[in-house]
Amino acid sequence: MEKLINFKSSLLGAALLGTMVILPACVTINIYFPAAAAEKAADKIIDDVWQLKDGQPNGSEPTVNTKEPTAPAK
Amino acid sequence: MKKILFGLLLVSGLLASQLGMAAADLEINTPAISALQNSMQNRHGQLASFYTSGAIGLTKDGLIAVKDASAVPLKDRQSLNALVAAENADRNKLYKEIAAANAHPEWEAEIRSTFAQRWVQKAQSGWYYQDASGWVKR
Amino acid sequence: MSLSYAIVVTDTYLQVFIHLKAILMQPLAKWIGFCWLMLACISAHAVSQVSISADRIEHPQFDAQQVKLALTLNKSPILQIKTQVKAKADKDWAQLNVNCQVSTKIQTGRWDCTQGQFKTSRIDIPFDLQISRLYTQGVPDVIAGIHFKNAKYGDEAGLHAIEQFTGDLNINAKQQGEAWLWQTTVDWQKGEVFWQPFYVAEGGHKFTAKGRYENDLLSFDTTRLTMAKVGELALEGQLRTSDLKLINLKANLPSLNLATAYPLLFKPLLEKTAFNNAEMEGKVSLKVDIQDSEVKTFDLLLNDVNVADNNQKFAFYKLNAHIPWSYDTPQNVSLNYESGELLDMPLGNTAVKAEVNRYAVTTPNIRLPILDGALNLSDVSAARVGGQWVWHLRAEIEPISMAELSTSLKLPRMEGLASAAIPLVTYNNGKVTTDGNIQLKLFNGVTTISQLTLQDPLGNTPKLNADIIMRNLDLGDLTRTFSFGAIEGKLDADIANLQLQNWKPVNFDAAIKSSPGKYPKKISQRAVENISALGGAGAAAAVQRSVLRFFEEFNYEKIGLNCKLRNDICYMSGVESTAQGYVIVKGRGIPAITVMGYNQTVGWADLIGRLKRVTDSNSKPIIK
Repeated sequence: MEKLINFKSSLLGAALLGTMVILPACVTINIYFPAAAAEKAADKIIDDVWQLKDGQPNGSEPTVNTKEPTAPAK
Repeated sequence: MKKILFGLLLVSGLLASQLGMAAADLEINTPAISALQNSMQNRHGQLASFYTSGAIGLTKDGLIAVKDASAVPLKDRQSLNALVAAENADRNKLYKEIAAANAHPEWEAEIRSTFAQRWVQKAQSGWYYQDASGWVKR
Repeated sequence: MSLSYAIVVTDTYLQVFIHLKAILMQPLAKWIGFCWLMLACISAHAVSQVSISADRIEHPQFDAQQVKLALTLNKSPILQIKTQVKAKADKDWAQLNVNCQVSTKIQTGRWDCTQGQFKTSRIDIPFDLQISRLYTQGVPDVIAGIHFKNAKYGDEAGLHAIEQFTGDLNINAKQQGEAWLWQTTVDWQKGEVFWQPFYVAEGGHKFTAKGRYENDLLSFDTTRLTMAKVGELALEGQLRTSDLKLINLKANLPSLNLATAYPLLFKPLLEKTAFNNAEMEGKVSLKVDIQDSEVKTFDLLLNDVNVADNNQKFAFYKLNAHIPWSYDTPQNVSLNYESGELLDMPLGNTAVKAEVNRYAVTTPNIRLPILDGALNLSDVSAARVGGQWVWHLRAEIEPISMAELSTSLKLPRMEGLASAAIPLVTYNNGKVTTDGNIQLKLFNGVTTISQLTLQDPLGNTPKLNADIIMRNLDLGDLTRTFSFGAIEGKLDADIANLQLQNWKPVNFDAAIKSSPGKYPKKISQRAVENISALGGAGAAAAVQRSVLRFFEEFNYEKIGLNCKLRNDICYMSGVESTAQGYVIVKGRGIPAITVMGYNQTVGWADLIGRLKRVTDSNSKPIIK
C-alpha cells in the first residue's frame, strides 16, 4: 500500500519525519491512490446515475452537478 | 502558545501542500465515461423498483447481483437478468475507464472498491447490499 | 435392514407402529411388498381400517418422516398417504399427500389417486395420478399418467420457476429382459416457465419421446418437441444416465419461425453479443449431430431473414445463407443479403463464399458494395482461438463518392472520393488494427489516415485512434461545405495521436497551416470575423473595425493554427508567436490584416460551441 517517496533532500525527509511525529494519524495516507478524490468522483457519478440531487428533473439528459459534494473529513 | 499555533499552522500547511496533488479532482469527464454514465442512468429507471423489492442488491465488488428473483414476476425475470448483466458490463467498463482517463490503469481495483463503498453509502434504505456475512438490508 | 414394530390387534382396528431405525432399502418395492404382506395377513381378520406410521425412513436417495398410511378396507379400498419427504441433499421437508383408490388385485390392478399434493414453501404441485397397469403376465409393464393442476415450482434463487402449470405426463414402461422399453408424452397445456435463461410465456407445447433403457444407457428415437408458434424439433440419440453424458444426438429443426424463436431461444443465448437487442424474422432450419457431447456437424439454413438492431447499429435484409460445418471435413459456406446498414453506412447486395475448416474461416474475396463504390476484402481468414475470434484480411475501398457517403453518415455534404488500400487489418480481443493507409480524396486534396485502430465499435464505448495527414485541401470548398466565411487558398493539416471516445475527440495534436507553393490567398471579411469569434473574448482582429468594413476580402501570407487537445483543453498556437499571443492569419499587402489569438488555452467544449455558433449563423442565410 504505502511506498516511500525518495526524497532527494534529507531536509525534506526530516520535515516529513517531523509531521509524522506530530500527526501520526496521517502517515498511512496512500499518496499513490487519491482516495478522497476518487470518493468525490464516485459520488458525482453515483448522484448522476441515481439522480440523487434535489430539484433535478428525472429526464434522460445527463446532469452536471454545480455543487460538488464535500468529501467527508478523514 | 502563539509559537505552538504557528508551528501547527506551518505543519498543516506543509501537509496540505503535500496532499495538494492527491486532493486534485479525478478526471471523469471523458466521452466514454459520460456515455457509460448516461447508459447507466437510463437503465436505473428500470432497476430502481428491483432494488426496492429486494430482487437485486449491491455487491462487495461494486457490481449488482440478483438476490431474490422470486420477488419479480416470471415474465420479468429474463429482462432482470439481462439488465443486471448489462449494468455490470457498464460498471466494469466505468471503473476501467476512470482509471484509464487518469492515466493510472492500475487504479482500477481501488476505484472499484471506492465505488463499492459509495454505492452502498448512497443506497436508499430498504435496498440490499452484500457484506462479508451476506445480504444486508440497508 | 433393522426394524422393530408392534402390532396391536383389536376387534375392528389394527395399529402398526413401526420404528425404523435405519432401513436402507434398495428397492422401494421391499417396503411396499412388506405392507402388502401385512395387509394380506390382516384381511383375514375382520378389519375395516389399517394405519401404519413410521417416524423415519432412510434411503440412499431420500428420507421420509412422519409417514402415515391409512387403508380403508371396503369393496374399493382407499389408501391415504401422508408423509414428509426430502431428497438427501435438501434441508427442507416437503409434505406429500395423496388418496388412492386401490384395486384388490395388485398384479394388474388400477391405482386411481386424486387430491395428490406435493408442497414446500416454494413448491406446490397438486396432481392426480393414475396407474392403469403395473404388470402384464408377471412382467413389469407400467402405464401411468399424472395430471398437474396449476402447479408451482421455484428454486431458491428464483432462476428456475414454473407457475400455473397445467398439463399431463404419460408414461409407459415395459421390461423386456434386461432392458426397459419406454415411451412418454408431455402435454404442456397451460403455464409460464422461466428456466434461466429461457422464458416461455404460455403453453400449447407437446413433447413425445420413445426409446429403450438398458445398462445405464437411455436411448430415444422419434422424440419430438413441438413448440407453439415456433416450430418443431426432432431428436434421437443416447444418453448415459450415470453422468448425463450425451453419447450421441441428432437434432433436426426443419422450419423455425425466427420472429418467435428469436426472443424465445436465441436472444437469451446471444445476450453477450451484438445480436442481443434486435428484431429478426424469416425461416431457419438447423440440423445438429453431436457425438460424445461434442458437436460433430451442423447445417444451418437461413431463408429470407431480416435482422435489424434496435439501436440502429446494423441491419441486414433478405439474408440467405447455407452454413454447413463439420469437425472433420472442410465445408463451403455461402451467404448473401440484398441490402443492409452498418453504423449508418448503407450496404448493397452482397454475396460471400467461404471455406470453414473446423474453427477457421477463410475466403479469397468478399466484395461489400457501399453506395457507388465497394469495400473489397481479400485474403480473409478468421479463427477461433481460446474462445475468441481473431481475424485478419486485406482491405481496399473502390472509390466511393463522398457526396453520398457524407450525406448518409449525416455529415455536411462533401465533394470528393474515398478510397483506401490497407495491406493488413487485424481483429483481436475486440480491437481492429490497421497496418496501412486509408486515403480520402477530399476538397481537391489528399487525406491519409494511418495507424487506425478501433475498439468496441458496436458497443457503448467505441474508441478510435488514428493519425491523419491532409495535404492541399481546397479552402474554398472546405469553407463552403462547413458554412464558414470564404477563404481562398490551400491547407495542410496534421492531426497526430487522434483519439476518439464514443466518436468524440479526447486527444490530438493538430497543426493546420497554409500549404507551401504559389496560389491565390484571399480571406473574406466574414471569415476574419468568424476566426476572431472562435478566439472568444481573447482574440481580436488586429485592424480597425472601421477599416475592415471597407473591404470584402484581404490577401494573406499564411494561415495557421495549432491545437493540442488534452483533458478537454485545447492548447493553442499559431503561425508565429508574439509577446502577447500568436498569429492565426498573417496579412500581406495593403490593407494587411492580421488575426491574433491571445488565449493559449481554450476549453474544448467552448471551442466547439463557438464553432457551431459560427457555422450555424452562417448557414442560415445560405438556406434562404
